[in-house]
Amino acid sequence: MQSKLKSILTKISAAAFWIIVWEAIAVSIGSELIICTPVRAVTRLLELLREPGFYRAVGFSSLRILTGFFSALILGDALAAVSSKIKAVEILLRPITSVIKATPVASFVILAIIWFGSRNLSMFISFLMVFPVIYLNLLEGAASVDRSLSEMAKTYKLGKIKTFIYVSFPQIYPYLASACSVSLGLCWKSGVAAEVIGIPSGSVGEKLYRAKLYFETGDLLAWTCVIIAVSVLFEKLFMLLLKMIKRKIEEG
Amino acid sequence: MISLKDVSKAFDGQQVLKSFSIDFPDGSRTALMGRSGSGKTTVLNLILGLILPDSGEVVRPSGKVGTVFQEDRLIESMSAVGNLRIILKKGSDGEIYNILDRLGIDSSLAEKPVRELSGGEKRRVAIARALIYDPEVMIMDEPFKGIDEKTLPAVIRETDSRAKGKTLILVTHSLSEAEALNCRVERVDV
Repeated sequence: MQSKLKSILTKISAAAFWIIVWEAIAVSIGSELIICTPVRAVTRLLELLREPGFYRAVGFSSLRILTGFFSALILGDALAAVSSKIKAVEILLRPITSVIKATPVASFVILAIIWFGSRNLSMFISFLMVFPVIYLNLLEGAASVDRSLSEMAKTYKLGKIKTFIYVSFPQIYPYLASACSVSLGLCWKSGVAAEVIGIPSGSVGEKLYRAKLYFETGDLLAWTCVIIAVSVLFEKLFMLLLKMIKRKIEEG
Repeated sequence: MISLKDVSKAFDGQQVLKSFSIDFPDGSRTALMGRSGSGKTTVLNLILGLILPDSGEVVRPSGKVGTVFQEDRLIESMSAVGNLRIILKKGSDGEIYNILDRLGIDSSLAEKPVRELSGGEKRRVAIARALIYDPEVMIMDEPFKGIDEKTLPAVIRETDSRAKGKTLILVTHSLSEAEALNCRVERVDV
């Protein structure tokens, strides 16, 4: 209990240190156009929270970015499962994942605007950024599944579903958890970046773009805090859910 | 009846079984003995269908098979109870705790993750899994290795009692284990 309290205090102290550094830099520059003070950013954030457009923008972007994430999660899982069984599928998908990984996000964003317009841009970009991470991690996880346990499952006629839940999932879990943790940060960063380029009306990206356009540093930092908070909140909730599923499985 | 007829099997050019034949009549008890590497585990894997023969014929069991593998093959992150629960229908917890207790795994041990158990305790959980499955055929590959002398008689007694009327195929290096389970002894050598 005492060590937990100590750990919390350490984290708060570290955050407080950097907020003081931020305050010192902002005061020494003395121009809100370049960088505003933390107090100004928090004040602006509190004002934003009272605006109805704020929740619409957060809802608009969250819906699309998370749809992209979940689509990539489902397709990445499914294709990793197929690729681990059928080598030809794995070989076929190899160039696609390599190209997606190497291509700059901006190129995809511009192509996506040409192909689909900007409204659902963040969904497509978030999907594209998350898919290779999930697919490649799970492919590696599937290769690490202990064959002797699969033989045990076959001998005891566990069936495909039970074998997956009780034998494969606990072994794949570290790969899945790590891929999801990385992807959840990535999908927000890439999704919002895409919105800043595509400027879909009513999105968080559009708000950031407008803040840049009018040199509203307070708005920019307030929206950045919102993106970080929503991203971290969703990551924590999702990882907690994954952990609960794992614990439930381990109870048998 | 389970049988192997003129079965040959090699791994990486190394001949493990050569024109090997053996019958395991229904309800019989057989101990396969022989030096290490003589092909005893290969015989079991052929019966289980985990490997295929290079030549010859294997008649495999058609019903439920309770297996104790050479390694424990338990899901380490799950408890002993969890490992047994997944092979049974729901509502078998009373029976699970009962058999584990008979094999010297009390309820506090039974609920710990298997990775926290000792080698001998894990082995007893693996045996419990095979016994509680209520199989028609029991295949046990050196099931009693690593079990301490104090617990061993109770484990053999429980195995003997649960194997009544079933086909038992035991791989062992110990003649006394084979005798304690009333097994006919068959030698496996290339």
